Amino acid sequence: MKVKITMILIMNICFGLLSGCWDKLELEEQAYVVTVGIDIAEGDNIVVTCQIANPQGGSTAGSGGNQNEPAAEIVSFTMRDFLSIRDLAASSVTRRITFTHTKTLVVGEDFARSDKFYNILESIVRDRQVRRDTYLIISKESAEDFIRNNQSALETRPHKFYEFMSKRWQESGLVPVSIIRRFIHDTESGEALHLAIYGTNEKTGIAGEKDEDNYIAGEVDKEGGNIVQLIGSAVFKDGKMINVIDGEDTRIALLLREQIDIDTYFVTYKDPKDEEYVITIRLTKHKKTKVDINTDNEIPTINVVVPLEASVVSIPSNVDYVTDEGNKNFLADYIGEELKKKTEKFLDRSKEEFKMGAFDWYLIARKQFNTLEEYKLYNWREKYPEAEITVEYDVSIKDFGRLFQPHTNREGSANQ
Amino acid sequence: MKEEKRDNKASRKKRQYEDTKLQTAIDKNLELFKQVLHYPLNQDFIIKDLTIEDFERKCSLLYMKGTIDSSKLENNLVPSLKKINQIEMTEAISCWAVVVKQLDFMTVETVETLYKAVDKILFGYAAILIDGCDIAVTVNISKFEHRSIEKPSIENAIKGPMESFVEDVGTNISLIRKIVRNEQLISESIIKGQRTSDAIVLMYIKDIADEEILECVKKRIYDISTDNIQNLEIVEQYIEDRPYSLVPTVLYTERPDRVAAFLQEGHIALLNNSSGGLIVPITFWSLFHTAEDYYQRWPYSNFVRLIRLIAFFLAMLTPSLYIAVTNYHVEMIPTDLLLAIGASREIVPFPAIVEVISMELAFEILREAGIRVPTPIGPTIGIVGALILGQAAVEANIVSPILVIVIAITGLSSFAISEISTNFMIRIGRFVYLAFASFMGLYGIGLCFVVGVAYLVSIESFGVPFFSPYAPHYKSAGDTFYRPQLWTMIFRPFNIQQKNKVRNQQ
Amino acid sequence: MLKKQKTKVGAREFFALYAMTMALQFSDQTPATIFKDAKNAGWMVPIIAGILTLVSFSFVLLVLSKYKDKNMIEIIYSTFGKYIGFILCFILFIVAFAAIVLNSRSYVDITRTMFLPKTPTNVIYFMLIAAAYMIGRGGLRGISSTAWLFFVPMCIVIIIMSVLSFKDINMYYIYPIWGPGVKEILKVSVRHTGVFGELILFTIFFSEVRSYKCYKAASLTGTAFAIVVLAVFSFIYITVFDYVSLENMAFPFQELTMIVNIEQFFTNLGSLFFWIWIMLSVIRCTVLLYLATSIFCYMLNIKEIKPLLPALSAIIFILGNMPNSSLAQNITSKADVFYQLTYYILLLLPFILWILSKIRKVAGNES
Repeated sequence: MKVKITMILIMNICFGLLSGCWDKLELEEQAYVVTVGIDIAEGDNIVVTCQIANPQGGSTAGSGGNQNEPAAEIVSFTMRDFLSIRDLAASSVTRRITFTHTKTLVVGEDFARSDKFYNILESIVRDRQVRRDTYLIISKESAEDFIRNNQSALETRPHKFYEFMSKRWQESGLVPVSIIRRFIHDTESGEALHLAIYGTNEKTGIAGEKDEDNYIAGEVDKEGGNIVQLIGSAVFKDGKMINVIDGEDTRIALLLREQIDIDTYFVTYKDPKDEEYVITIRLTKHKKTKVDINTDNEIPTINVVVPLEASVVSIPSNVDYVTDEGNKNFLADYIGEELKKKTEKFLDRSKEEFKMGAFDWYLIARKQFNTLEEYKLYNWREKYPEAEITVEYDVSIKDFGRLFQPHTNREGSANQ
Repeated sequence: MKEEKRDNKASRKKRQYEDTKLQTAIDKNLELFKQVLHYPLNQDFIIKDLTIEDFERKCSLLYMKGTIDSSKLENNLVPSLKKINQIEMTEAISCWAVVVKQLDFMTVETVETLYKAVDKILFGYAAILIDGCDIAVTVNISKFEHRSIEKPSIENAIKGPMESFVEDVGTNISLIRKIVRNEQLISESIIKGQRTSDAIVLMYIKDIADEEILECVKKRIYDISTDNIQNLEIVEQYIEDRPYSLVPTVLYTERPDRVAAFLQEGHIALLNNSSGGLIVPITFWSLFHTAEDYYQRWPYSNFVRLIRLIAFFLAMLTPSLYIAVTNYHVEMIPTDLLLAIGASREIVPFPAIVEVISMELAFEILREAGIRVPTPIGPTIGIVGALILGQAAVEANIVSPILVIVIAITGLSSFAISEISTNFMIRIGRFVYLAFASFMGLYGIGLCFVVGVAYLVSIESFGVPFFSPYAPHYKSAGDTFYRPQLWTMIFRPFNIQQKNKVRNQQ
Repeated sequence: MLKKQKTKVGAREFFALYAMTMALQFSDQTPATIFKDAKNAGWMVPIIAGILTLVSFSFVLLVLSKYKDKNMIEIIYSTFGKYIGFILCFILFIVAFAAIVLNSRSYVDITRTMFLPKTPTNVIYFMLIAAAYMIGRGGLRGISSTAWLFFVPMCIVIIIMSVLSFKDINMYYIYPIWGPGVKEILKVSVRHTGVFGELILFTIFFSEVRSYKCYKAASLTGTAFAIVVLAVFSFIYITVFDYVSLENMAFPFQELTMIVNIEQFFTNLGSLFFWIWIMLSVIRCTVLLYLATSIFCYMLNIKEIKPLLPALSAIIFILGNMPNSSLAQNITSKADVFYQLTYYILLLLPFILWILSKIRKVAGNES
């Protein structure tokens, strides 16, 4: 018996070794695509751009690595279907294309606005190598341009750029953290807009006076560094891009969602007591947003209370908001009102222009029903544009940065 | 099946003189001895004629040089023989009885056959032949040279007893009796074959050790077919459960304190003139634990056990996991690491599996060389082999630097497993995993691992399941992966014995 | 004393056997079949189905308590007589046999689609069955001990998975609470009592377990464990993916392992979990293989089980390799037929057994 078993084992091993190891592929024989770009092309075709990380580029390892090699190779192919890139790439790329380490999918705006986009995206997700938490970036120009022009001096290796950027996105909330899985889910549910990251590498310049956050990509006035800008979001409805919203609206959309999607961010307002100056405030959504939805009536009513903690970081006007209780409350109300104004504007836009919410409220509405049947009958998608929405900001001033008092001394020194 | 084979082999040759009785005439007897022990060709065999005053009968003292203590011979034996009262001697019915009486402060035995007498002489006895007696009186004056008690060399410990067994059974038994002062501690001598020189001493605590297992051990020892058993290391191979398996079923230890601890749990120890003792039956845990686990404080010893467990897996699986991950599952590697490996692999001419196997071989050669090399150059081998070879191989782009790390971790981890047989098991098993990893990646490793564990579970050492008392579960102190506090370990493992379940409490 | 105990299986090992075979279904295609009909209320199905099976199982326990060292097959033979008994046993055998063929095939499909796309199916299948056979050679005691050894790792995986997926959970996905409606949930639950089919099928091993008490404790705790694990994981799947996405998902567990990450450094743990998963799955395969073989042997009154293992393994290998057992069919037609077949038997057989044994007893008393 023992002999038999050993024979089987040996035969098995020989069988395996002789007939070849089917899925075996040496690590260095693969081309790791870090960023994939998809654009629309003539006819039915699409242009797929792959940014392939070069292991030897940017490596400091002394083991014969050539440090002068570029960190990535960027190739673009025009073809009908996305996944056939593996074969087509064989015409010029020496290694087998692998998507296991793809961090980002960049889609040209033109393509995102086309009907084909969603189908292509679904076929990408079907591939076993593509990760469901790949970031989705919509670029204003073609994805190919975006990828080719994205040269960060700080991060030589391309995947690092997105890895680190994604952390900044979560902090600032100027960009929604959009991953393919959520995109597919929002689309499949048919009840939610999806906000995808919006970016560009063309500076268009400023259109009118701006606060610190109501830019869309390209409008940020900056010099030097990487020319790529990622701010604002592309709005998708039913898997098709319909519009762009700026950073401020993105933040509002994130605030209106129940969960905490945004860490802490800075805003500046005109000082309510002294219009000449601005005050800078750090806002933190410290608790979940309270969303009450009433679906008893034909027209749903939605009550939203957004709790915010504000830290006043600088008060150049020297108005005493710190010790004066009245001023303090006034400031809190003022911030709430300012936010409310902007929010209402955005909500109107969402109801009238997009006719859909991006705030996951449909999930809360789902909770009001007992069965899926009832919920489908109620038809939230149709009801949302007519909904009565009231938004309140519950702003509490937490602290005043590192100062107790307005900087009276400086006033004195300024007078001298 | 195996048992039968062993029995078949047991066709022993009987020696020519096995049944020869001693004669009455001393000359004839001496002639017999001279013939058997090749006198005068064999210079060590000494025949000394004794003259006892006023006593006409011829007397001879026979012994083997090198097996006796000459001071005992000169200071005790000869003087007391000289003092024998001749009147008594002549009056006695048999004069050998007088000699026995005279020497009663020493270990004296009388033998009737030539064979036994020769045996005694070989064992360090002096035989006294008296003319007219067909009985020889043998006196134990044996002294064999052996090492003095030294520190254990394999099972090192920082804390705890520093004695190890030496090549003398008496000393070894004494080392154990020093720890286990128990009237139930039995040391039973099993004489293998016809020769007392092959005696194996079985030690067990009578009211704890399981009879069934004891019988089984005895049977296996009796079944050993060979005539001459040099030492326990060879006995081990005769009595183990699975001679062809990678898995050891007998534990070899050089620490008396460990043997004592095992005795207390109902195991059986085998001793001989060897620098170690054997423990049967054993479980996986016997191999996994070390003596020091019990001497260190509870948190420290559990920490060390965890480290050892990790080392166990690392030593077994690291190379195969490396192959599986780099060849089949690159998605597991963080991007930066992936690119780093990729950059260094790019200029290496061989596939990863060839790299691993060649480096593994190099490491195993290094290890073997390190053991066989004369001690003074030992460390040099390490430096030349590990540092220079590794460094040069990387510089010459024959292997990638990451691989040197993989092999180094594997080697280092395998050093953390001090039990020799387990160590070999892991080192060889590693290559099996390597084959499966290169064949089917993690799928292969996974299947191989489960089959391996199931195989271990199926193994029994003298009827005791290998993973008991964990799987199958038996009541025990719970001393498996985790070591409980000593005072909570009141149960003896039920898988070994069920006679005396609770440790002695007063 | 040692010898006698050695041949029997203890409560813990038998519990592990139950826990491993039933609870491990959270990681295969079972949840996918549940979500197809039960939508976002899928997490209730294991609970209801489990309780239903437990109710019918309590009748089995009543019957078993009367027969101390007889296994299920012998009990069936003695209750139903030779011919009906044989038919019933044969049906049980078919159920067990179908379970091993379908499950092993499903494991191969998962392995192939997710991890080894180019390796031929028959090679993967061969390895799996060969491994199962080799583990099965250890007999019930060996298998159950192995299962018990892997029970703790399984718990660790379950806990790690639940903790890691915690941050991706959105509680709102389970609403509306009753999903497709209470009636539908109950219907789906009844249809999925086959999930806990092992509970009834394992009565085959009754005579191999140390005592009735052991058997009862092991089976009840094992089922409870399985119910909890299945319910928790169904819950996690729903709250992470939402039912709209789940409906299109063939392997929710594998998808989940691909989503969870530890910080940004270890972002793709899919393969790691796959590795542990295949170890657990092959044990499950072994149990099912041994189960089918045991039923077959007892049915034909063959004393030795082990000699038949290779033959059955070979048949399973051939059947599982049949070209038409592709993934999609697996999930839809065959599985449905299989479940339908099982739930009638599993729910009704214990009850009939109990009644018949009662009647027999009464009849016996009268005569």
